[in-house]
Amino acid sequence: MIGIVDFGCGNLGSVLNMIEHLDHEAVVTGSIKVLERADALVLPGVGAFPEGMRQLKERGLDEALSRFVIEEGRPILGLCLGMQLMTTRSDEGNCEGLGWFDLETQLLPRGPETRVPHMGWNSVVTGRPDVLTEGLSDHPRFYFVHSYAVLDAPPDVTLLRVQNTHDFVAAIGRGNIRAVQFHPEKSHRYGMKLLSNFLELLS
Amino acid sequence: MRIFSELEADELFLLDITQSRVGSCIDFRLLEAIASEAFMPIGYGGGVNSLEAASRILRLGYEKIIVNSVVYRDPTIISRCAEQFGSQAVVLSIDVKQVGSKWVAFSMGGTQREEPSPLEVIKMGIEFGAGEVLITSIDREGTWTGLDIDFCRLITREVSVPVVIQGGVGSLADVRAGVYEGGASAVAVGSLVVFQKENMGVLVNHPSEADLRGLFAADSLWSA
Repeated sequence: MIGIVDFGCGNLGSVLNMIEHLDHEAVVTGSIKVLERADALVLPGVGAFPEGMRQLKERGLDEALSRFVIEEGRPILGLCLGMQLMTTRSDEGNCEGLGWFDLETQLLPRGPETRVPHMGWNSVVTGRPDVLTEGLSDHPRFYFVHSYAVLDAPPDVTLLRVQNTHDFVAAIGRGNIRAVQFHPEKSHRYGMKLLSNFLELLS
Repeated sequence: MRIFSELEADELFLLDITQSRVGSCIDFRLLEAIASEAFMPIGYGGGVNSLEAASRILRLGYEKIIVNSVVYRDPTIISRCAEQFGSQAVVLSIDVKQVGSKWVAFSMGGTQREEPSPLEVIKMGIEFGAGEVLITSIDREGTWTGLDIDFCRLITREVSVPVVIQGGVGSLADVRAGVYEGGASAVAVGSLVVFQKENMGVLVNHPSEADLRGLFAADSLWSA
């Protein structure tokens, strides 16, 4: 059973729907008791970083999730804001994150070719191999909506990068903890392949 | 929605063109059900005339709200939404018909002729914070005779936000022309993906990724 963490930050209908479409049982919940019974977790999120952290803390989810993920080693996949929250801090509100990755979330640099927020489909390039990114097509693309991102990460945690007009880390992973900056639930076939890879970890 | 999700449409705009004219309430429950079937980004337009309505729609899982008729009465709806949700979430939709050598803007589902020129309306909308413009040639819609490339170019030459053109696409070559000759960032299609062919029965369809990749130069569009 997949536990999709509900901490009041974002519409989770599409995430639930895509996972169910892939024939997996999932539940959207903010209840620690229910999440305790999940084999794997998805941490989605849309909105501002400080608000996200505040909501997690208020519900005791910051501690509970750290226990599930760091102590108990349960597989987790962070999406969009979910990925950012796993870093040590964000420029957004100059706020501290969960610190599961020794990485920083920064404001995307603006330029003549780079519109911020970064909204739209974009191609990614693969970093180090991982189950999450196995078998993505020759030209994988995903849907992004964000103004902040992890601009740099060491190669051993970098799973995907966007490297064209925008230049940032699109997916990270270390052991049981993985996260993506884009929205797989809005990236039809590519998102489905990625989520399906994540769900494979459970079998 | 489910079919287009399966056919891997990159983005879908849901437009209720009778909403403003009829003045009924937006069916949020239906919109929510539709949103949960979407595995791609979606926008909704049709009677969105308040910040509350816009907020509600975006929270249901829509990436963008699309405004048309309300803009002629109260353009501040654009700035209020853009301030709250960001310009990228606000699309200005404008319907035009060619009248002689000029183009005229229409509101209320194509029933009400508007004074300001389409370009004036678009420039104003962008000034108020619209992050994207959708232009529809309502006289070409459903005709399969090709996009209004001249009008498209007229607009894309003057504005710096992404312009999506719609109305008259009869083939993938028309789609390509919209981008390469018209300067549009994207092309929206209706009849092309709903009907088998002009004047033939309904067959919901969508070009494959291979078709689209062959249509456009390798990386330029896919990275945009």
